[in-house]
Amino acid sequence: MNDGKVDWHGNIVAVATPFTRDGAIDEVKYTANIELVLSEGAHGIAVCGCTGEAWSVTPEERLHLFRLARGAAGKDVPIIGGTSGIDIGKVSELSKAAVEAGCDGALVMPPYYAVIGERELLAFFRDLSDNAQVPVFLYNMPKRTGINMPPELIARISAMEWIVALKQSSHDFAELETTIDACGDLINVFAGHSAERGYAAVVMGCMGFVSSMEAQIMGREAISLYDLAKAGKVEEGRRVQARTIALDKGMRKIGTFPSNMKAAMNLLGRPGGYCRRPLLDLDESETAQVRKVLDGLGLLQAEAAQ
Amino acid sequence: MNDGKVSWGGNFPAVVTPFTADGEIDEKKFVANIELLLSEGAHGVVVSGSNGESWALKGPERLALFRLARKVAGKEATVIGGTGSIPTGDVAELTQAARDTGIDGAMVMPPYYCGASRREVVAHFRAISDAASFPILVYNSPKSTGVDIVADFAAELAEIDWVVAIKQSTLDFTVLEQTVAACGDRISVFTGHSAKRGLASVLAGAVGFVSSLDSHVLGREGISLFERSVAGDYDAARAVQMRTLALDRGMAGLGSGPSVMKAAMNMLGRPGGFPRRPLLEASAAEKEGIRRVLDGLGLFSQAHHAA
Repeated sequence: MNDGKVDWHGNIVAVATPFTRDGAIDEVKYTANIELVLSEGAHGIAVCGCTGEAWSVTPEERLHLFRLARGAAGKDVPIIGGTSGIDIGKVSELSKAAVEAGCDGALVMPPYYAVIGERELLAFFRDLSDNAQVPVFLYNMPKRTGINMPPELIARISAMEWIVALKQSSHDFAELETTIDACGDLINVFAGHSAERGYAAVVMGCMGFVSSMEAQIMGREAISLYDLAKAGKVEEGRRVQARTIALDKGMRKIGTFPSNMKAAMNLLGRPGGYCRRPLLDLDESETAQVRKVLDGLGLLQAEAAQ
Repeated sequence: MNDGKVSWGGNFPAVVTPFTADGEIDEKKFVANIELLLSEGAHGVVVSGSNGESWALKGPERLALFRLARKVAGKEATVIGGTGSIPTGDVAELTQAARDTGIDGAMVMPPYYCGASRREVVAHFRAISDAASFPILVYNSPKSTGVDIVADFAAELAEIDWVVAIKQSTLDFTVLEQTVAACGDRISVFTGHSAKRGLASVLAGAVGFVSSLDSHVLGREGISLFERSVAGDYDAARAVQMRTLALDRGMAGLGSGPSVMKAAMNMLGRPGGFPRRPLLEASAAEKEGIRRVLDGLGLFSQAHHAA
C-alpha cells in the first residue's frame, strides 16, 4: 500500500548491465549508461531487472551495482533494485540490503521455474512485506515466470503494507486497464512494454512506465514519451510511439533480448557492452540486421552527425 | 551422443525431496522413499528434478542427496542427479561435482527465465559437456522453462559428446514420436508424463520413463507400467494406464505438483514429508480433494490390507 511511502512516477529506465567480453561487470560503461539516460530525461532507473540480466548477476554483485547506481544518479533520483529469486528468505534479505545499499525500493517478481499457485503467491509476498519492510515494486512478468497474476490477486497483494508499486508486463492492454481500476488507488501502477503502448498507458492512468530497449537505443527522443503523454501532446506522442514500435518490432526477431539491445547500443556509440552466458552476443549476420533496423529509423545518421 | 557410454532404460521415478515441517531435508524419509520405490520395481531414480523441488535446493544440498541416493541404490540401480540452473558456469561446476559423488549422470534442463534462444541453449549444453565429461540427460519441460526442445533441436543436442539421453516432457505426443525418430538412434529417449502416456510412449520407441505421481502414489502397480508395456502385456498395461490417468487427472488443479504428491504419499503411509517454500503444504480443502481421489482409486483399502 502506497500511503505516501514513495513518489515514483515517470519514465523509469531498466538499465543494462554491461559486461566485458570475458563476462566481468564493466563498471565504467554501467555508470556511463546511467548518467546518459538520466541526462536524457529519465525520471528513475531500475537496476538488475530482466534488462540487466538479473539471472546471471550474483547477490553480492547486485549490491555493488546498486551502490554504483546511487553514486552515478545522485541522491534524488529513484533507484529500484531487482532482488528477485525463488527463495523467499533470500529475497527478503536482499531487498532489505538493497535499500541499505542506496536503493529506494526493491523490484520483485513471483518466483520463476517453480510454478506456484495463488495461495503460495500471497504467502510469498506477505513474507516479503513483513520481513523486508522496504518499498516493494511488484513485477508481473508472465512470459518469463510462467505465472500471470490476475488483477484481483494483484489488488490483494497491493493491500500489503510494503507493496507500493507494480510493473504490469502482461501484454493484454485491457488487463493493464483492469489493473489500474483494481488497485490504482492503492499502489503506483506502471506499464511494461512501453515501446508498444507507453503513451496510451499514461493516458489510461498509469503513473509511468518502466522502459528498456527504446530508451537505451533512441535516448532522449524515446525517453520523452512520458512527458509528451503528460503534456497531452497527442501528435508528437503518436509519432514517437510509432517509431518505438518500429524499433521494437524490428529488434524482436534478432537474437535474444537484451543481447540485441546491447548490440544496438554499441553500434550507436552508447555504452552497451557484452552479455554474460547463457546469453551469447549477436553474430555478424544478426549484427548486420540490427544495423539495418537502426538505419531504417535514421538513427545511424544521427549518430554520425554528432 | 550415447556411443556406448550408458545403457539406461526402464522406469526411473523422479523422487521427491521430503522436508521436515520447518524446511530441513528429511534424510530418513528421502532414503526410505528410494528404498521403497526400488523394492517396488523401479530401475533407477532421478534426484533433484522438478518433483524433488530442485529450485529450492542449494548446490551442496543436491550433492549430499546424490551421495545418499547412490548409497541406498547400490550399484544395480541407475542414479541421475539434477544439476540445472541458469548460469552456464554454475551448471558446469555442479555437474562436475556430481560426477565425483559416484552417480551415473546429470539431468540438465535448458536455462529458464532468461529466454535463451536455440543457439544459446546448444552452447550451454556444449559448455557443460566439455567441462564435466559426464553423461547428461537433457530435460525438456517447456512449461517450467519456457524453452521447447522439439525433435530437430533434440537431434542437434544429441550431437554433443556427453549428451546421452533426453527426458521429453512436452505434452505433444507427436513431438515425442518425432524425437525418437530424429535422434533415438543416438541418445536414449525417455518420456515424461508417463501417468498420461507411458504405454503409448513405449510403443513409440521410448526406452524408459521418468515417472512421478504414478510411481510415488500407486507404488508397485504404477511402476509396473513400463515392464508390462515392454513385455507386450497390453491389456494389463492399459488397465494400469487408465488408473494412472485417473490419478493424474484427479490431482490436476488441487495444488502445486510436489505438495499434492507429498500429501497423497503421507495419507498412504508413504514417506512424503513436507514441501519447502515457496511451495506450501496442501491446504485442508486441497487435502480433502486429494483424499477423495485416492479413495476413488481404492488406495486406502489397499494400504489398509498391506498394513
